Amino acid sequence: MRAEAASERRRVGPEPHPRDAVRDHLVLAVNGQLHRVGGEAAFGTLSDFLRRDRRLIGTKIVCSEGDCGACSVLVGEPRRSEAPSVADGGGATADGLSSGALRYRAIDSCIAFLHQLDGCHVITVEGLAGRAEAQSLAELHPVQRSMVECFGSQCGFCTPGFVIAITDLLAEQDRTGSAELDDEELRVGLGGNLCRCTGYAQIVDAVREAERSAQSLAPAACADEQALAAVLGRASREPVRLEHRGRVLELPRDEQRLLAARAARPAARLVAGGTDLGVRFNKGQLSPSEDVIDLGGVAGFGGVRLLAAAAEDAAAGGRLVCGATARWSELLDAIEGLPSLADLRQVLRRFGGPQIRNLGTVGGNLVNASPIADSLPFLYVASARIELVSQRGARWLPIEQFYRGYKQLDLEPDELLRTVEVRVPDPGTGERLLLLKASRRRDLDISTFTAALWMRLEGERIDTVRLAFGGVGPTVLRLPRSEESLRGQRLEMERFRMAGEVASSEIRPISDVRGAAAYRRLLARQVMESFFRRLHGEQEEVA
Amino acid sequence: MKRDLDRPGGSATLGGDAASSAVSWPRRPIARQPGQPPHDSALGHVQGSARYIDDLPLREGELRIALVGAPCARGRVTRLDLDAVRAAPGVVGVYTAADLPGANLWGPIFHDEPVLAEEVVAYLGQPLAVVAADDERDARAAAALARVEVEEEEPVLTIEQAVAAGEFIGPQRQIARGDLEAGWERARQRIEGRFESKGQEQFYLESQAALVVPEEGGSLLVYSSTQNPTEIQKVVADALGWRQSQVVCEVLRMGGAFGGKETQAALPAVFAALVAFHTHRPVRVVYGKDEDMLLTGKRHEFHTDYRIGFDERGRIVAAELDVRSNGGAYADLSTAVLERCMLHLDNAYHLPAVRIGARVCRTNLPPNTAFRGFGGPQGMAVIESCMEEIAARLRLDPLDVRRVNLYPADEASDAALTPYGQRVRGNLLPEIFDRLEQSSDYRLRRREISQHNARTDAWGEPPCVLRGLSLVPVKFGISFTNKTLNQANALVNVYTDGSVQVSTGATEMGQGVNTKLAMIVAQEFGIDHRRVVVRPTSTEKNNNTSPTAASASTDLNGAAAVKACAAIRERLAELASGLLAGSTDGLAPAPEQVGFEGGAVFDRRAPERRIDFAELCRRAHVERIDLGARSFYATPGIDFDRETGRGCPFAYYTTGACVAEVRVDRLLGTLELERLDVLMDIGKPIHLAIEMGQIVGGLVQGIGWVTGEELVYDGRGELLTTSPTTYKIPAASDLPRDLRVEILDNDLNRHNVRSTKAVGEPPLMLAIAVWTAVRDALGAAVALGARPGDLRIPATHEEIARTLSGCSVEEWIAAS
Repeated sequence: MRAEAASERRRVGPEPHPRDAVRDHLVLAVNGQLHRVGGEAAFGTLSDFLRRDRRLIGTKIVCSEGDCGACSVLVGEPRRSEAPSVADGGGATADGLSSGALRYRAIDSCIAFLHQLDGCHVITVEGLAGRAEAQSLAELHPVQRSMVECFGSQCGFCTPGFVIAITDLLAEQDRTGSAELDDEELRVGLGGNLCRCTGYAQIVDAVREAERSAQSLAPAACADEQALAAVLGRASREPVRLEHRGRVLELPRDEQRLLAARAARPAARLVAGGTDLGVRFNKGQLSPSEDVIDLGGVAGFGGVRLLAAAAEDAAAGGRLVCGATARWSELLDAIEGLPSLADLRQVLRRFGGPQIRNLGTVGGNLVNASPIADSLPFLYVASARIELVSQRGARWLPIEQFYRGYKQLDLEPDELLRTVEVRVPDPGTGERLLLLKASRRRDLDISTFTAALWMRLEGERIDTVRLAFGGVGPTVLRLPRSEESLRGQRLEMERFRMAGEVASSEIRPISDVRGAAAYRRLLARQVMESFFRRLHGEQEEVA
Repeated sequence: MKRDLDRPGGSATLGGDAASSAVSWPRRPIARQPGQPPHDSALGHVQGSARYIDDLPLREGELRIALVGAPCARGRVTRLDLDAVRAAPGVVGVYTAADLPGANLWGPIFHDEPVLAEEVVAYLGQPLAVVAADDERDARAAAALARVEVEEEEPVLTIEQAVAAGEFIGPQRQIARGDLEAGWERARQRIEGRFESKGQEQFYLESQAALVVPEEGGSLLVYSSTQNPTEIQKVVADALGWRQSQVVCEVLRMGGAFGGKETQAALPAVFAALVAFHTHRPVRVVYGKDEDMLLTGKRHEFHTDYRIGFDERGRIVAAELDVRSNGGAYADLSTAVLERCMLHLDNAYHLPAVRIGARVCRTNLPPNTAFRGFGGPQGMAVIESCMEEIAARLRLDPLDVRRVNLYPADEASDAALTPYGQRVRGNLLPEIFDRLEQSSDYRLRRREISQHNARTDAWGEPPCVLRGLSLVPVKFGISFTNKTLNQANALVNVYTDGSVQVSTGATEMGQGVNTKLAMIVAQEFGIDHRRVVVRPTSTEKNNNTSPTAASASTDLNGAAAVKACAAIRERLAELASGLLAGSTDGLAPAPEQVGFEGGAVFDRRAPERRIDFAELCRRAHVERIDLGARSFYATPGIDFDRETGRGCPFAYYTTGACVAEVRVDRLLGTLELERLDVLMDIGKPIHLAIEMGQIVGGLVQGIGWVTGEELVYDGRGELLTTSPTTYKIPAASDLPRDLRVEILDNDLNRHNVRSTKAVGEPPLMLAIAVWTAVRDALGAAVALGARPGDLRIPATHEEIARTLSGCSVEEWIAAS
């Protein structure tokens, strides 16, 4: 156990800092109680802090990689001081969990660094019920009670994570005001948690049972939320700089301070969502002496905006502008109900699980530069541009120029990704966007192969075509020869089959743990027919 | 005898009604029946207060450990330099085989596996040394500094390689029955080929873990996450050169096990015990997920060469099956798993003339081990694949082929004899077939699906989405095939306030055995289940216990507990009969007339006069009557001779069947489960909701085995799928759109406690129906070049795509 984890419990908040004063410790709340944390713990994971330092053993660790959800906790954030984002709707809303002072979402605590929780309220499974170790059903939170009544737990190891995820799911339902979760919402909502005992049916029963419950979803630990939110809101605007054994951790709050910090520490670990870094930290792959800059709370780097082209359609033909630290769940919320981006929504709902999407950022997926990053084929065909900033100024470049090779970026040591901007297809002018994600499992899986096709049709003739595949080379690839084989052609099966043949010869996939090269080549060929059938109006599909 | 078969559905249904549209998740929850308790740990589970090994409070001076493992899968160790490890910060001690005071060989059947490898390493990562430090990170960092040099040898990794190298574990086994020569003469047609199923990771969520606490006077208390506390006690004692009486093993609960903790919880516990022995400090070990998946054994991969002769109706007249399993580096339970496979190759079908030969192959992988089904799934899948092939050959509906081969209801018939000579008695499978065929609308759906698949689209091709349908039965033998293990003891303590503690050798891994035992005991005394507590399993209270395995724990431990209760009840009845007679005119004391019901005792001849159960217990204590009992149970009438392959290994069979409908995208190989209908005979359920949890849980685990779960190794014998990132167990969305589960509630099973039937393992094999349904769907793409007969287990999207492409495995690899 780490003795140096300096954490002390306080009923009242830390002294308010003047606007430009720098705090030298983290401030966060756990189950209604404020904590000041410095030392090694500030650089570690949230789950270690909960289990080791706070002895909150209800949060379980299984995989340490965000792929099972056993470590799920709820995190309440003060509304971020952004330019109003679509996701925020310009103001916080009340939901089943909260009066609206804080916005709660479930995350995987095993891959979240504690410093990402600065200014947040963490609710663990212990914070849901009215008192510690309730001995009767009546004292339980409604989700807990439903899980007991419906036999949603067998061995119990995944159960706390499910209880948290279900609570989040039902709160989201509250927020959207829907009467009953549809099957898709239920599936997506449970997609971040694994259970090996139950086969899920009785967990699904528990969700339905809890849905019918009239009892408030509000965790007991949220009783005094307003006061807590005020303290946390203040804390989330304060810059933090703490040192421990020669390591520096910085949480800038504005762009100026961030760019200065980056210029001063070009080798520091940059953390936004941390969903990939957290995994590498747990596997011992990160330097234990690295400085850290956490840019999750920097104003002007987050948010999702839709700039509409046509007044009557919120999106079609317009532009989608994402801050680098916008989370995937924010983006999903922003494109909810937009037919022009239905495929993107489908793919994003299979991006990680809800807990990952609530943590992971758009910019992180780009800078991580994985050739199987789920968002990249879309960004390639949507002609995305990205904005890079440093103290020297800002520059824009097309996304394809950002990637030079496997994990090689056109990014100077002092530069940071700030914005991603794409055009939204406009079906009214014949534009179509088709995306495919192939993976071993439908939900919570990394792609074996991804594909994106952007087309503009002039009547039956293909006017514009852009095609990009992921998982078939060191970077996401555009397929110029396949595109050429379609350009100017009629929308016909034979053309697409031929394009598929060209595509499968245009790529050099490798065999790895997610699939054989032969499989990827087959997918590259067949996806074109699959896309054609969809364009042709065949709806039937196996997800 | 009551036959409750006419009551529709027996009681519980999951799932939408037939009329509802495509999307209908299981909707109608199984309501908790009145008087049925929740799972006994449920309140702790949902609040996070139920403790597992890693949650137990930190002990004063506690150490954590890390392992130094073999850098390659096979070779001779030429250098093991641990100086840098010893000098690393925080390290308290480093221990090798030389530091083991006792034997460096262990194993549940053969003692052939070293606790710590010495000169030879036999699988990648095999532990060579244990590093102890105050902090786990220090221990791991230090272990990484070890310098291990091994003179590498070419590892044997596959069944083919082992056969070629003559590497086997245990002897060749055979089961044979009937006149094969005559059978082949009768055969109109024959099929032959090789069937392959891959391994499966247990994927319990709580990794292997133990906490060892030294106690006074040379003894150790071992808290272990194990299905087999007696084995832990023995292995620890042997390794330390101690007597078994010096070691106590206690199990509170496991965060899942599924067979993976039947034997393989032992090594981590021994490692911790070794450190505790040398340091006299408490030692805790909790494997990381990657470490656990890399180092521990899994469900066995099997290859079976089959040759089946059949008549024009598809009736099998001759069957020759040659089975090989991939056992890994040491014996572990492999020979027993092989045996159960051989005993389930018939699944539910009469094989009049049959010869089964089988052998375990030795390879340089971690020793493979128990996993729910224990060889049964691998055996049944072979014959079910053959059923599909026979039907395709004869152009019959596979259901009709299965039907003509099914063991009959008439137990006197010659066709009720299994290959090993046991008679299939009380067989409800013909009835299950009839009911399921009707309730699932099998024939109607078969017609619809055939029509759908026969359609051609605008380009003259079969539809992009192919549909498949299949009904598969399961007949699973209950009892350990090792006769010795079919025993149990139970300790029942009644207290003077009428509350009760029960202790047995059964361990709780989520399956609800504690809840069921509490119900059984409560019913014996006629008291509310809340008065009964099942205590953590401990070798101190129950000695020489069998593992919680083979689905038999409620059977064995429940029967022992019933006997203990009966002993106490008899004494209480004696006392009560006097008390009741004394206060009722003209009643002579008659203990046999004393009833226990509703928390009270009464004389059946004058039931209005009642004594509260607690009051009776208080009186008993005053009268110096023993309120505790320890009882013993051994399953009668079972025996199996593995040398001759004949006998009666099973007390009874649990049976059931599943109808699966799937959809396959023939372009991309993707698969979706449309609907599953399950009907099982589990006798008289003790706790319906818990049994349903076992059925659905087992089924979904089986779906993982036959579809998405794939273990991938590299050429060095290193497992590449060592975490949920790359190893994909079913998620919630992998449930079928429509899932209907019913049971045939009946009290026909006289061979088991309370007319119940074991339910732990059998449902897993229902999932074979999903695989055969995929195969069925692929049959519609034969004209496009698909080769459905090539499909292996698991039918991953890639495997489906390969089969559709017509590529053989060799061609597929060559193209990659």
